[in-house]
Amino acid sequence: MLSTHQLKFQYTPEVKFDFPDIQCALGDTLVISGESGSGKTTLLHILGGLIKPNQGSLRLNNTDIHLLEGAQLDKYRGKNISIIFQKMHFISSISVMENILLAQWLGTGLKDANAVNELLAKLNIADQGKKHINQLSQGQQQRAAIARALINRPSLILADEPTSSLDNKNAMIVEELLKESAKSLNAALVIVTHDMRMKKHSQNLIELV
Amino acid sequence: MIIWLAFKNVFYKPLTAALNIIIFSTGIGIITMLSLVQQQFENKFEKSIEGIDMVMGASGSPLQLILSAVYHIDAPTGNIPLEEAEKWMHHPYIASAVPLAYGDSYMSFPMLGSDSSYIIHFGAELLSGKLNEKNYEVVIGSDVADKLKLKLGDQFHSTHGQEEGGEEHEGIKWVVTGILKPTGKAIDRIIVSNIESVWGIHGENGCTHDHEEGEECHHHEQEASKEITAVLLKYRNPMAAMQLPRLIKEQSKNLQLAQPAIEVNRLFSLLGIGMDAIRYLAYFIMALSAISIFISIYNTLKERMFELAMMRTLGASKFKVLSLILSEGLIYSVFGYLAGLFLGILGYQMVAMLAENEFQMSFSQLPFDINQQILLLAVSLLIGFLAAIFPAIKSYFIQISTTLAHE
Repeated sequence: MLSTHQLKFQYTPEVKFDFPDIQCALGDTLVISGESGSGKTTLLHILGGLIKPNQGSLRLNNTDIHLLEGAQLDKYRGKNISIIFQKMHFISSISVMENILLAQWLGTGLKDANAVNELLAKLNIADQGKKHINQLSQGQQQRAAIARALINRPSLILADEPTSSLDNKNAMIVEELLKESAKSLNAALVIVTHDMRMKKHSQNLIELV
Repeated sequence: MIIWLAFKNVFYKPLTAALNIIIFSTGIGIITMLSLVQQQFENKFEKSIEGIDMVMGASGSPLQLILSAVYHIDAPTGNIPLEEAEKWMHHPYIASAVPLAYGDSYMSFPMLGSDSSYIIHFGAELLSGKLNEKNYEVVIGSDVADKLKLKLGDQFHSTHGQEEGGEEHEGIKWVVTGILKPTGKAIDRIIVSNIESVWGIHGENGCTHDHEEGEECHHHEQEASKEITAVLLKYRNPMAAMQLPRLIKEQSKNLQLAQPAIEVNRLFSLLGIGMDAIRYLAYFIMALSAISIFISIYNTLKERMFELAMMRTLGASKFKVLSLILSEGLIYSVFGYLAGLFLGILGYQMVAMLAENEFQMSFSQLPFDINQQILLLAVSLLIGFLAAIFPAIKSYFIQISTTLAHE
């Protein structure tokens, strides 16, 4: 269960955000939408523990994320939270497979090539593992990023505009893939988007203003 | 895993990596080669002057006298009358005196007439055979035996003078009766006979059979029979060092004295200036390489900010990211050092080959100075560290959120 309480964040006295409280059960999906500048990404980064809220609390299962500091927070994030950014940010000097193994190692301290291969197979990119990220098509890159996000079986998956650069068909596929994966891993899935297509079929929706 | 990733990052741009390693290893290589060569030189030179306080010979350059009489890499300054030399060889101030008579050479290895004290003086031991007893019997140094593949009982004709291609003394055959163990000193490349043989080959025996020009032959017979080239002296006590040079100068004006220790130091300091200049160049190249490594890491850092921020969101601590970038600098160090060591040894072998061809100075084993190499490795690591520390600190303070935000 992910829940927030009176989160506030301030860049400058003029630019400050007051976020509505949100809740998302494990296995469920929450879509957060809003115009540019409404603080979607800021909220996502707060949920992911990348920045600290100035006020308010943030709880995932039994952990108060806003209280974690430094390396402890890094470690917690690596193990429990996955973030899918609009751009993949794969490490270009190593292969897709190695990128995912690195994520596994950073999150859990272990490397399990079998688990990575299984996951790649499940996402239909089993034969792309040895390639570097720039050798993959857009859709394959998206799948590789999802594989990296799922490998540590996180409790919270955050996705920042995962579909906005995809065509209808692929956007649909990715959306379904994310929802299904979250369900099967029993993870809370929070998607930040301004993609109208996604808003249409979401029951759990928060609009930022 | 971090070191593995650093390795992948460094060699992801192979040309940049190669350039950095080449520059780095050039610096290390020059320093390694210089110190190897210098050590070997000093080793060779200093080993051979042990127990020689003074060299007495014909007047000329004192350095030349030392180079010819002790190291056999220069022409002799001339000859001195045996009678004159003997006056001092048996002087009470003298502990030991080794007379040397030069004459011929064989395949450009110098042949030397002396008495048994020469071999004893240089602490050489027989590997096989026995010491020369009769005329025209020789004991050969280990290098001579190796290079010319001479065995006990082998016979050869000598050549007049030190140069290859000189006039051959056809009538007389020298016989190898003994081969010496390696000593690391000049004696390794000497062919030793008794003095009488040297006088003999230029005297009546050599002449009657071979010399067609009678006059020159006659000339040899008269002079060669009572002359020697130089004497290696060892003093009996410190008092001798004070008194004897003055006495000799006063009483034998045509003799020259040279102190090996002084001349060798002079030679080293002359060579040293050149070596220092090259060494400073090497330091400069090392500094250049630090800058070049810094620039290439710094440049890729700009491109890789997103990757590093992503690593942070995947759970990498600040310290892990810092150590990744530091490792990249240190990988350059390690590879640059190893390649430099290889280059240095290669360069040293080339110098050794050159020295062998020019001076028949064989650089036997590698005078590997482990302490110096540890120091060089430490300096290498320091350079890699310094080159990477600023980019590493920069990566340590990456703001994940602002780096990855696209709004």
